[in-house]
Amino acid sequence: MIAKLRPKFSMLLGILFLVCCSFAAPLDWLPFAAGALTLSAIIVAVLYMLGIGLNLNDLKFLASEELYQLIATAIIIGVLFTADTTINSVFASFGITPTLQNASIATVNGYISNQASSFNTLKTFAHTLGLESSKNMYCSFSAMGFSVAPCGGFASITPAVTFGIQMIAISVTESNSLLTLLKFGSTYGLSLILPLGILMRTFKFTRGAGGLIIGFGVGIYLFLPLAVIFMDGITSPLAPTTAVSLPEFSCDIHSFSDGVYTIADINDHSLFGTEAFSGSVSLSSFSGSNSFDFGYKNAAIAGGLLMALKGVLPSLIYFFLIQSTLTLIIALSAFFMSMRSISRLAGAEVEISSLMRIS
Amino acid sequence: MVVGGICSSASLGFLSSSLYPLLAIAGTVTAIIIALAYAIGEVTSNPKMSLWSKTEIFQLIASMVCCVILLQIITVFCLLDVRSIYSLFTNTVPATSLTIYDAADHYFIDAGTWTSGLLRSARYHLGSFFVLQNFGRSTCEDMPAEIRWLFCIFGTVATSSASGGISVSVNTIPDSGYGLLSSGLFVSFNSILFALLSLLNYTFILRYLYGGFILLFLPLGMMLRSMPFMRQIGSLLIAVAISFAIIYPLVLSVFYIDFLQPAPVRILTPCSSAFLYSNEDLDSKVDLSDAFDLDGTLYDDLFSTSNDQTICGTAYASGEHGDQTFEIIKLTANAFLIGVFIPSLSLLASAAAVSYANRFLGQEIDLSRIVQMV
Repeated sequence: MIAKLRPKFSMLLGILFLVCCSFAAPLDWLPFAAGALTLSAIIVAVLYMLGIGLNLNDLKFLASEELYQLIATAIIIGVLFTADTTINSVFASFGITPTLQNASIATVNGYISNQASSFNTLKTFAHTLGLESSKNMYCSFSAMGFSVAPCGGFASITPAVTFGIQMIAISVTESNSLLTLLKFGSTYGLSLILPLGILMRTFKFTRGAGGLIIGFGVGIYLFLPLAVIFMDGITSPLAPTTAVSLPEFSCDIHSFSDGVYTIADINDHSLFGTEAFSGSVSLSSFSGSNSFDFGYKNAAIAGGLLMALKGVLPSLIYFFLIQSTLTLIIALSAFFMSMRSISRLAGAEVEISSLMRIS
Repeated sequence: MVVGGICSSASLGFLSSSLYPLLAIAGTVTAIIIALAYAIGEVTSNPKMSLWSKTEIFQLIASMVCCVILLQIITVFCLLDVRSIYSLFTNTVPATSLTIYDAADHYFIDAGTWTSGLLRSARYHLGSFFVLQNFGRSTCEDMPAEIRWLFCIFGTVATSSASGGISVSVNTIPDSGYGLLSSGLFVSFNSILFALLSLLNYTFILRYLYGGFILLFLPLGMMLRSMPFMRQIGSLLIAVAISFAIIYPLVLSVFYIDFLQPAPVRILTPCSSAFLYSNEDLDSKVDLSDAFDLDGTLYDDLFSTSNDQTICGTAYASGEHGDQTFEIIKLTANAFLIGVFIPSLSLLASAAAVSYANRFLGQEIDLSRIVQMV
């Protein structure tokens, strides 16, 4: 039977390799995979020889079965090689160079860079907020006196800033976990993990683990970066056009109720001064020009800060929900689904739902 | 008792001096039971018992062969030096020989050390933020310098502001804003702590594998596999022994390759300035002089290092380096991957191998409930 199938398998493998040779392809992982296949073939051959020598038909049958599995693995390697080079060529035509893996790493690095900038902006703002909102004054003379906290209104902004910092922190952690997986897959996915899986798949009692490892290696090398590039293509048009920017401000410790201030007064730097509020806020999203009149200058500044924070909210939500969480969920889902499918193709029915739950 | 690691001479000697005899005793006892059953079957002219005895004697031989093969594989793993494989991927291999079991053990040791350093740095940052957000100051404003001290001491009200307001003493907590940062850092701290506890858990599992695991599972599995109604349990015990003694350390040793890479190119445990404060002592940074600190240098005092350090080839002189909150938050992901994800993947691969090893021993088993434990 092997003699009959041999020419057909040879032709199929030859066609596969001819197709992929028409594209420029990275070959750094191929020697390792070929080495693993060769070693497995040698082991199977030794087992078959032992079967012949000891006249054990069971052992000969086992070795024959393992040989078929090895041929199937070799076909999988061939298809993977073709897929890798084809995908890189296709994406090169879209300007994604030099490889899919490097492009996905650069994309996530860009995410982290944006998140770092937003984090530093929020950190500076939080520091100023803490300083200004904690100001209070007292006076006393001969055991009589009073204390007052004209800047206490700034403390109302604290929960919003805390929430923003937490969102950025989670976004950064998620993005870096994706980056680490991409880097690991690019470096070791096919050059180390795949050959190990091939070797483990050679033996019957390690076939399950070998199939899982093959699925892991191929998934993390090919499907995880593919999902990241795909998600970036979908989500990048939704990115906010303005960077996260918050105004500098200060609290006037001597300010009491000495007039009625509006949002327009905040933007009037000749009245408030840039030291009090350096940015500008827009009323376009609110209706009613008198909705925000304040009896205290500091309250007006606090109102302006709240609106400035509202302005950066779309960016924070984009980083947290879209760029980090959604991208990670979709990428990991694609990775785990591909891992399960490739494991099945490699002959291993493995339940990976526990790994998905952990992630 | 196995001491000094699974591949130590004492351990390997223990295998040959104790485990093999134990397997022989278990096999002999089982063979006697089977022989008795065969004799009873012959005496009572019960062909079922005779057939069962003949079947089980072959299964007993198969079990013994599996156990011997497993022990030989463990011996081969102990002889195999994985530095030759590691040298294909990195130039920095250890000087001493490294077995697969050593590599798996070192994975947990190095990962635990790295995660512990990150956790200490996060704790230092949280402690520093707590000090900063509770450090208040009183200042005197708008006073002539000559009489400022007088009004500060007595808290007297004076009218001097050009706007017609009141010049008074002002209290403030200038660094209270860092308390907001600690909310984000707490999330990371909890995640890193969880990762460290997970590493300790998996280390215990590995140490148990290196210890009495095989001593119990193999002889018991061999005996039970030949007993009526207990073949599944016996097969499971042998399959678990095969899978966890071979697959679990093997997969972990593969991931250990990254730990051997030069520090600047490591992926799973990258170097970072976050580790500047891993060994700093918070108590030594704040003293009475900070009470009179008027120019806001308490932050610089807290986030400064006592000694010169070199991290990944970058020299950091002793002094101020600022807080590394962002770096800690970023590395939380790595802590989770090395502490939870990779060991879980190894355990999953071992559980997958149990099913196939069990099939090899002639049984089918559903391990979905055990996998959920992962």
